[in-house]
Amino acid sequence: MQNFYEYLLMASVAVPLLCGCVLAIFPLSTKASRLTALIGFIIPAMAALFLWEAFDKALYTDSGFAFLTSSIFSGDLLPLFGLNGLSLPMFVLAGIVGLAAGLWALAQKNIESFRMYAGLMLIMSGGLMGAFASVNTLWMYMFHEFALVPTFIAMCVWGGQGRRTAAMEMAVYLTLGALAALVGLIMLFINSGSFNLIDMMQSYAAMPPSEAVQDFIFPFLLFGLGTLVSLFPFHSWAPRTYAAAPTSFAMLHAGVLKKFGLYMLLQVALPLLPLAAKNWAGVLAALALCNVVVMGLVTMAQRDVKMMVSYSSVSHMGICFLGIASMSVLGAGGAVLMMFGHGLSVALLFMLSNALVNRLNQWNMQWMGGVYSKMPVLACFFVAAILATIGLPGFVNFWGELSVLVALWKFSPAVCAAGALGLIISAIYGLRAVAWIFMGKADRRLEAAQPVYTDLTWQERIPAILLVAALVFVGVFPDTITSGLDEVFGSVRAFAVNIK
Amino acid sequence: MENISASIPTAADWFSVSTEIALVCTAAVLLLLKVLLPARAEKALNIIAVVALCLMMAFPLSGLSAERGASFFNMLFLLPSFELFGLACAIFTSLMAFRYFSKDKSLARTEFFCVLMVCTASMMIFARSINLFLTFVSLECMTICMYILAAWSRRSAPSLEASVKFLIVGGVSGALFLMGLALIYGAGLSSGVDFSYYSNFAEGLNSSRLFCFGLVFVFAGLLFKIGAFPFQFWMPDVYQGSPTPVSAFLAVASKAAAAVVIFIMAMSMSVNSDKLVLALSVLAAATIIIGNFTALTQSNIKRLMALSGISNAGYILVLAAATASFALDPDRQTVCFTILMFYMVAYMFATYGIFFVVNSFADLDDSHQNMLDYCGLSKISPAASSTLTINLASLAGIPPTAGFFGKLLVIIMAWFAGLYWLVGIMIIGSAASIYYYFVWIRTAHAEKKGGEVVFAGLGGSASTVVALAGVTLLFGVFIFGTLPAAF
Repeated sequence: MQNFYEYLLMASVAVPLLCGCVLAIFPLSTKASRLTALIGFIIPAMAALFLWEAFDKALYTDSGFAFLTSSIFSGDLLPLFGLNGLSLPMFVLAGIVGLAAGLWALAQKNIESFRMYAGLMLIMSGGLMGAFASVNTLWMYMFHEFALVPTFIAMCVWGGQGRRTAAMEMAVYLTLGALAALVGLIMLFINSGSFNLIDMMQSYAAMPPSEAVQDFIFPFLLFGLGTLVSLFPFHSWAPRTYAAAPTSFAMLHAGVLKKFGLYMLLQVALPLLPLAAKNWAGVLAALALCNVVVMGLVTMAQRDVKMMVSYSSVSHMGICFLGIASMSVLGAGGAVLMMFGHGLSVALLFMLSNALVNRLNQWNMQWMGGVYSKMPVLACFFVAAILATIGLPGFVNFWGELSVLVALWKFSPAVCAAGALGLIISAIYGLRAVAWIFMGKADRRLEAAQPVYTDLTWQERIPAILLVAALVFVGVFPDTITSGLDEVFGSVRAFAVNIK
Repeated sequence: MENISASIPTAADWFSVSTEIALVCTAAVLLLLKVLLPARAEKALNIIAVVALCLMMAFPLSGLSAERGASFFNMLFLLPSFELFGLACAIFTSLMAFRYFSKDKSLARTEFFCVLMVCTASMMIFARSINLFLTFVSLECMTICMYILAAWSRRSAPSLEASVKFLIVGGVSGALFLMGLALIYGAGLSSGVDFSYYSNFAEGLNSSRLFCFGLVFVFAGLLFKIGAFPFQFWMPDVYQGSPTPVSAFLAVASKAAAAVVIFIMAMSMSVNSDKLVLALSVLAAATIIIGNFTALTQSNIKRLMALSGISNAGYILVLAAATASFALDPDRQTVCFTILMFYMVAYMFATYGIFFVVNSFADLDDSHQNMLDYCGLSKISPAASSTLTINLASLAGIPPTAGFFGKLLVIIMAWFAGLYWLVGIMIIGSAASIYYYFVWIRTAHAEKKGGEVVFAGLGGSASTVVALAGVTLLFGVFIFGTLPAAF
């Protein structure tokens, strides 16, 4: 059985990549390419859910990772896969959001050269599955970079307004951030002689580098990875990218890819560099507060529904960073719950806001109105997504925000209060958007744009149901994620009260 | 003097240059056959030339040339990997030349392959030499062949212009090298040791100021060849005008040979290496900055490739500086040399892959090929645009392409060597390079109609291009799996 899980883990990475290559290379017919794409999206999602179900602490090896593929392939040639309590929820998130984005793309009838579109998406989602399934830090980095070129091309070909500049801005920003993080990884490698996270952990536990060395390495990882997560002030690429990217890519990028930087911080940087993490926590908290409050205020000023969703995602990343900055098991666990919940809800929001904008031919929320009675299903999902992002109990985001705030209280009551202010801001812009779009009456300028009021089709409803179901399921049973997290974060020295 | 053995050449001496002998003999036989056979047999001759080049891979592969440690009158060291590299470059250039000649039927063909073979042979000797005299002679032989190749398109003014510019610049660099050689030899005469042998460089650095002075000139000559600051200015002009197959050959083979010589010299200077490290790092930083930042606004494709080549020369110099700093650690130096070969092979696959696409435009000399001409390439030829994307991503250093591993290994070695600021410069340069490579990718996927020059389809080179892109994509991953043991 153990071998079966390992093959499943590898298949969840290999199948989407292979399907992507098949779509990119062979001139399949429309039907065949849709089928190939469907296989490429469903298999990793099913595999992720299956592994989630099978994941048990009993499967842990000494290294803290389950399903390690080293029993099948040994040697440095192939990437080493495995899951622990932290990578599992991210892996599941990648699977679910990947499937939802894929189904959404399949539901759209008007995508030009669908074969290319789906091929690029599959390469990106295969890379994401690989990034979270890898145990080797270099492979984590490489799988993450799989997304760069596909997103760039997709933005240039299928993107919205201002796509050429936005695509270039994204490419340069993300590469700079990734290279800074790579230098950090290289320094970690030089201190331990391996890129393999398990070996690194052992070597750093046996011979921790001095505080000065840690303090030197940590900012490369913090700011490099921070750029990937749109940490203030390196966030300016994110809103424009998400607004210009085609829907499915925006879902994958904002929903999953962006969580990678946080994941690396939690999985690699904090366990290996505990002293530096403590020292830099103050700086991180200050920048994260800027994300929460400043970007929250910027979000309030948005009138374009897509821009509002984009900015809100930047603002919510601040909460995750605050959870990390609190340097406690509770805060980090809250950050992971928040990452999970935000990934699902922001993907849903991007999907629905694109649907809305495409149907109404108008992006200004203030001009919209009365959509509730004309497209009840879309409105229902949209409201659910907004309620999830502002942290209504019952959705997983609630647990995330709650744990982060509780953890922050111990870190600093002032920071906790400012963080709570961010939540109020997000409630203001979220509920106001709902009121603008769905209630009241449409402006006459909206009618001039000749809106088409067709509700979500059944094919479009499936991905929405999938995302909402995941949000509610983990919202009701948060321990499906948190029990694994306790295991991982319990041993992180940065979270101990007195580490020196 | 002491190192020159006056022994009678043995079989091992001749075997050590078997590849080169085979190349030159094949060239001579082809020339004779061209005269003797009727004109319609020319096509067959050209195919024979490429087949012969492929067969010659057997010499370095079989280890025939590797009979003795140092051979051919103690003037050469053994480097089968570089012989393979040179042959691969010659094969790719020949394949590209077939396409090029189909655009202009009036050009001489068989002679092109002959000159290319002689050029490759002298390039191999150049890279393998351990004596400055032989280095100089083979350098000149190689460079003269390249002047001829650069001017191959006789009726094209840009080609002739490129050749004349190359001739002047090459003459200057040759003269600098010779001047340095004279000084070094003179310094040796007064102290009784033949400093022209690399193995005596350390002694020369210790004992003679004249030697150091001469060495500066020798390095200047080599920096011309590799295209490093401050001798980089000729590259865009020459690349732009030369026939595209020749541009590719210049970009890859000639640069790699000069890089190998720089590495061998850097490895032989075990004393005073801190000054050499400083000089090489400053030059590397300047080259990276100049190459990348002048490329930002460049829209002529072949000039852009030249500027990208300059920035790559900068990355190679970073590795050279790291090598020089490991003066007391020969194992690390060997690792660095392996990384250099890896880097050059990755660069070869990506650059040839791109030049094959550049060569597929209908215009004869490609010298005015503009970024705009690539608009809508993805609609006309998905194969061309996707392979172009992969190869450009490799040059930009995006994982999982081979170019990423090349840069990663260079950064790791530079970090080991303590050249932290140089790593910073490399990262800034790489981030800047994202811009011009990605603009190219973006243009290839744009919807608009192309510029004036029409894309003529990949034609017969399609399979080569796809193979090159496939290798670029996967080969780094496989090689890297075997490398970590080397650290």
